[in-house]
Amino acid sequence: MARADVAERTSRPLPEAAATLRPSRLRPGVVAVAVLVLLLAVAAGLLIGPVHLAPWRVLASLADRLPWVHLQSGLSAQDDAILWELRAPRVVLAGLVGLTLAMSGASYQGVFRNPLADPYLLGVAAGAGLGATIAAVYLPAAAAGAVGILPAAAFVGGLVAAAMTYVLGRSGGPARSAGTLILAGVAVASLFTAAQTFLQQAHVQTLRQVYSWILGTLGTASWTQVRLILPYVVVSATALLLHRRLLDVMGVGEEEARALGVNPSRVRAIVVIAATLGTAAAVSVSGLIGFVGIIVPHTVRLIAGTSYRLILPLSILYGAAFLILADIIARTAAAPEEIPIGVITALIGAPFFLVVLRSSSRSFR
Amino acid sequence: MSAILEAPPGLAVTVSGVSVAYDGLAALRSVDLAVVPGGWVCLLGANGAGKTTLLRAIGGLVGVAEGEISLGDAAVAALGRRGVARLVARVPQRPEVPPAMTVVDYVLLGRTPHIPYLGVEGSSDLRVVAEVLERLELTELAGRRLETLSGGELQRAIVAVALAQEAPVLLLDEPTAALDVGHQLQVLELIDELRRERSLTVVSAMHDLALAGQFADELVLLSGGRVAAAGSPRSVLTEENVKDHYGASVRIVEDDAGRVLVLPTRSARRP
Repeated sequence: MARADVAERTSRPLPEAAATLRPSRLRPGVVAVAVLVLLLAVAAGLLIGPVHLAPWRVLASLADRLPWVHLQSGLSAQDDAILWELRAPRVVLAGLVGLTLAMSGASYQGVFRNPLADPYLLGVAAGAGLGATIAAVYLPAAAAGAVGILPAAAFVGGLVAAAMTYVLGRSGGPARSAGTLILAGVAVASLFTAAQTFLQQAHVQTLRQVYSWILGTLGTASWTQVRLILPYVVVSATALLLHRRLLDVMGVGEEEARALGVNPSRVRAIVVIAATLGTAAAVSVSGLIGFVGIIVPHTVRLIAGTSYRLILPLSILYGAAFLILADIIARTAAAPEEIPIGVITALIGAPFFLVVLRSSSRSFR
Repeated sequence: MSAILEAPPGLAVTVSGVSVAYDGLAALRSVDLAVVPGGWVCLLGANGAGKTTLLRAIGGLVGVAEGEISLGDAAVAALGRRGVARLVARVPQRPEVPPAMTVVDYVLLGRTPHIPYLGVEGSSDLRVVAEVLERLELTELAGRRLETLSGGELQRAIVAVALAQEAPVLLLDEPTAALDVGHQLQVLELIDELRRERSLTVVSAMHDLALAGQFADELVLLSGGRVAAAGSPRSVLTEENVKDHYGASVRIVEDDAGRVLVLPTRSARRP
């Protein structure tokens, strides 16, 4: 077409129908609802517990922490400690772990085009388990209960396993195949689990410590742990959010993605690395909390649609809210005992998983 | 708006001495092909003759062992993935369609080569999508999920993705394989209209010889990765060529309007 034609085309008003086009975009109302749910979960997490804290005092105490605001909350020193040293870090940590697992699950599902992919897909869980076991067995400080060593070992173990999976998956077949990566993940996970079982058999005294970590707990949450994982969560979330549109492009398959000018191998590598980094950090402080990465993204799909431009940001908000609420159940349902939070999410998640499995042949291909 | 200006109207496609091999097996052997700006060349040949490989090579999706492919003055090998995607749009043979995606989201994917790598679409992208949807009579279906479309509607949506790319070269790999004869004609007529409106250069691979002969300016018959015959429909569609390269007997008939018709004929009836 001639240049004049082009100018005419671009300057003329949108076709009438264009105004009514509704491509998938985050709409303020949808975000507002998700934020409201998260705020309610946070409020519940701060207020519910064996010691009653008056909501308005908690609110005042929260406001007091803001810069340039000075309020007397009227909380006793003990109540203040319960709020700020026990409940608040636990709520924040649950939120960070929940959002990380949910967005990582969503990202893996997009990049592998597999609705049942979860954040532990590439062997991160098995690697973290082995790392934690090695620390419990061979590092006397960890055996003595020193905080920080088990998580660090789990983090390293998770990353080593994921890296092995990635290297094996690339060498095992054509570099671009997503299938070989998943198979490599299964193999690596089996290997690491076998090694972990072997170690545990030989050192039965560590069984209880490792076992309670594997079941997942936020009972030891502290601001130190929050500070520990926050950088990884921020980096991971930023990288994944930036790739949300490209995850939609990946949905048309590798060849078509390439024909649209995208390098699928590179997108997959970046997304996998970002999601794995976040997952390893989350696992290191919380143990293995299953199903969050499946329940949350699929629920978001049901309410908001199938574009990753919606799924990723909403999974972050709802993932945080979900794990905060699950943690409330974990610490109150059988009070004063704590139920491992992994048990709670599995009880909700396993039936959910089956529903997804049944419907996945229809809504995914 | 810049996106629209970037696509230069009418681009020649030149393939010279191109060989392609998969795992050491030659799929194309020194193939030459020249398509004039705004022309339509149709690739013919039996399964495995190299039609799809040649289309993939033009789209920069497969590495070329020998020879060169250029779009206008630019070599495909030097353009980079995004560069090629701005010049070449492709309607694949069996696209993987995300079933739950809406039509408008799907067509918007066609804007990918024009959207910054980590960015999101702007109003000019939406304008292009709106125009494409309107042109292909898909506006009413914009909010529908792809899995709810009929075969003909889905094929229009797939063509719409390619059009939204606003590339001057359109590659079609068996664009009508899944359609009944009515919809086959509809889609091909549509592509021909679009080609004239937008000066698109079209390279297609087709199995239906009669349709190929009626829509393309020029036919190229591939056999074992080589060009076996090339030229006007009348010169390529001969009973000998079809016999030699498809192993099928046909009758070639010319109607009053000078159209070449290919009629498959069954060999002598068994007793």
